[in-house]
Amino acid sequence: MKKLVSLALVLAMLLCVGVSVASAEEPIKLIWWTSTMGDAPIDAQKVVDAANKISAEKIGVVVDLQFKTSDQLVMDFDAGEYYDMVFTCDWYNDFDTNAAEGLYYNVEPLLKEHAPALYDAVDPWWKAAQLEVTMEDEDGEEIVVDGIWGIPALKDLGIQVFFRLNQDFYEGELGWTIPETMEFADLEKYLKAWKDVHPNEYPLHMTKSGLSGFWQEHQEIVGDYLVIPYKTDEPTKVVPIWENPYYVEKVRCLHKWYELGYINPDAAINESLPMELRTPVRSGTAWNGYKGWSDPSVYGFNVKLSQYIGPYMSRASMQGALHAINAAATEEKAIAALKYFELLYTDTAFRDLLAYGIEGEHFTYASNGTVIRTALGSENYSFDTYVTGPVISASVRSANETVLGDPNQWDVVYEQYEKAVIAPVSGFRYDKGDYADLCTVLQDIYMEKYSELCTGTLDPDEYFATVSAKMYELGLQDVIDDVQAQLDEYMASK
Amino acid sequence: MSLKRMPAERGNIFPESYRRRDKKRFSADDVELIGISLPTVIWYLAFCYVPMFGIVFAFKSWSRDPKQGFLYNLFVESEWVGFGNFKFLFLNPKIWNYIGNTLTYNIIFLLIGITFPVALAIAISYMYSSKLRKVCQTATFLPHFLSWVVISYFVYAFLSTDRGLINNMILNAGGTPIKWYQDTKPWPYILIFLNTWKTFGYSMVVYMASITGFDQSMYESAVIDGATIWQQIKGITLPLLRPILSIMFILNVGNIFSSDFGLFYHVTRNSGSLAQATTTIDVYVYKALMEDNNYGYSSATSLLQNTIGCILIIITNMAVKKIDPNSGLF
Repeated sequence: MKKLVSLALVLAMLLCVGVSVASAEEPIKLIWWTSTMGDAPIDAQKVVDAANKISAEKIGVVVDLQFKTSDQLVMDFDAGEYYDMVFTCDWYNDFDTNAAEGLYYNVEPLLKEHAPALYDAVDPWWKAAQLEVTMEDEDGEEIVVDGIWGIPALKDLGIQVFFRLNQDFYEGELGWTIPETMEFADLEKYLKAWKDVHPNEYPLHMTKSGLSGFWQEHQEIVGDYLVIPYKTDEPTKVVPIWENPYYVEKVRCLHKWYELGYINPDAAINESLPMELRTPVRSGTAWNGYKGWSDPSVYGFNVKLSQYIGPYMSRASMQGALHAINAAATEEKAIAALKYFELLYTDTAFRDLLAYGIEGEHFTYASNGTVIRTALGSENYSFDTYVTGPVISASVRSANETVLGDPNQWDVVYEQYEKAVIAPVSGFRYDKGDYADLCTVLQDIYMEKYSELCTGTLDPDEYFATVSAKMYELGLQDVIDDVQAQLDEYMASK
Repeated sequence: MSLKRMPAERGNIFPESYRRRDKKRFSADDVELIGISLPTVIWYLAFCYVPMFGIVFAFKSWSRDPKQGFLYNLFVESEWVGFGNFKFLFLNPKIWNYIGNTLTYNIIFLLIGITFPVALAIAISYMYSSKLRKVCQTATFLPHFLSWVVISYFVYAFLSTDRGLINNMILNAGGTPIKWYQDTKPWPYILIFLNTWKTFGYSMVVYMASITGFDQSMYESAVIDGATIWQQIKGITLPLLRPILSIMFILNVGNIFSSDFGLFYHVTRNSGSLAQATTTIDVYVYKALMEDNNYGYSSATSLLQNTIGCILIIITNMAVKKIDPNSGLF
């Protein structure tokens, strides 16, 4: 009996030791919310499980990656759901607003000590996540903290908007040469050429959002209606959008093309532009050397890009993708998050796994080391790469073995950025204060027929005359004066 | 309780022993009744009464402390702003246009929603063929199950400028195609037609159920006395329908400041050109706040809509009771 009791005690002791050893080796789990336009990728869990095995072994950190739409994210934020890391940027889960509200963790004091390789990899672009935030210290006194409130997921940082033209038709059939860059108005001859051959089709088929990226001739300061043009002699002067001649010229062109039948007549209510619609001209924001739109099996023809906007750089363009840590997270979790991003920046194989899926299943490596997605990968694990980490540390994507991307494309792109002029008002954020409700109303007035404006459905000169009269009557000038005063103060403080 | 044991007179449906019982004592019958009602009571408490604390949003400027929970943020972290959130609604001069649209459409829906289904219910109840009656009922009921999003695609198939059925017919007849989604004039008629088409089948079932329950001997007596069908309807059916008509009317009046978002947003495909004729309060609030996620403004609007709806229900109920004391809702 004594032997049995002793044996039981020894077993119990061993078990306890085993448990304590196991718990000591338990990896830190980070809840990571990221962006999706619709449903989560079908194979997301499978890929994350594979990634967790590697990251647990290398740095003792695993993630619970959750894909959320913009609406879901806002609701979960407000409901007080807990997360450790979250995707944030200029256009989704607004970084500057949330950081200024104190929602994110200041990683600046931890970076150099706990993730030096991460610091070096992102340097000199930490400024995209740098902000002065007013906070309360332990005694309840207000202090201003100049910190780094997120980890930039580096990708293209400048604004370059391209026409995506049917190369087979324009160069192959017509024998033209599509130039590297063109003016917006130059597109007319391409539209006419297509319409002449295909009179029942619309060469510039578009959705109610208009041509992707075509508006990026200015920085939006308040809503969509108060802007600072990139090309201006007064780069710190806020003006209504109808005073940006480059934007106005574009919407005038669109209206002319609508009247000529180059744009689908119901564009202003059209929700989607499927790939099956072999429209010969599309638009998109990309960078020199981008091959993501060049796969003829997806688009039906070879595509050649021609730049018509940019390159411009602003704080907004630099904030294309960041991942922030919850201000409520513990220091241990914040360090774990930094280490996780350090791994994403320094281990290409690990980065490719989260970016493109499992090798052999979701993608294969091409002869020059770039990545080609498989049909399964395109179907079950495809999204914008930056939502799971930096793009520059992932392998470059090729369309197929014949349309190969340049494996060193980011070196070329970033060389340009080092010389780029950054818009001087970068970092300014308008505090609406007492004008919050007026700004909401002005935005509603401007946006009432925005779809008609950006699809060329209505005459922009008439529209701008009508809305500007209404908006000035309601107090637009007061808002402009207030923004300008705050901006002047900000520029003086810099 | 069997039907034989039930007293015939209205108001005396409970047995004598039940009515005379000492109210302080808790009997087995009470347990049964509480058991039956409990799920409903819990449902109402959980989904209708507990969330009502959200009204506080209407008087707060929402702000978050990431280290605190939702309730703390709402009640402590967010500042009181009094009626500041209500100001937003009336800053926009177009709001009167939107209120006008909401009221006009709802009043028309209210009138059509009562007369049309009642007329049809009566007509169908006079059908001799029970099979045809069932077919008619099902056919009118089916649109109720379609969502407005699905209907919006049907409508687009008819009204698309370059590929729509109607414009193709116009073209074939030698006419000029109409840009339906840019012309406000036909839309009040289109929306009224669609709303009636989608909802009248469901309303009709309510009236049909009442008509089926009427004492048939009254109609037999009327026929023996030589009454025509019109006289039967006027003298028997409509007076007997009055209580249910009053209830439906009072309930619908409560929603007069709200609108069916799907009808006004999806069916019009949120076309800016149609905004003047089709934007209602709900659509405006959705569009205006889509970017801001300002809970304060949207809660203030909902509170205003519901308060006005509640007041209207009380006033209408009083008016109905004044005309006919037995027809009120409460």
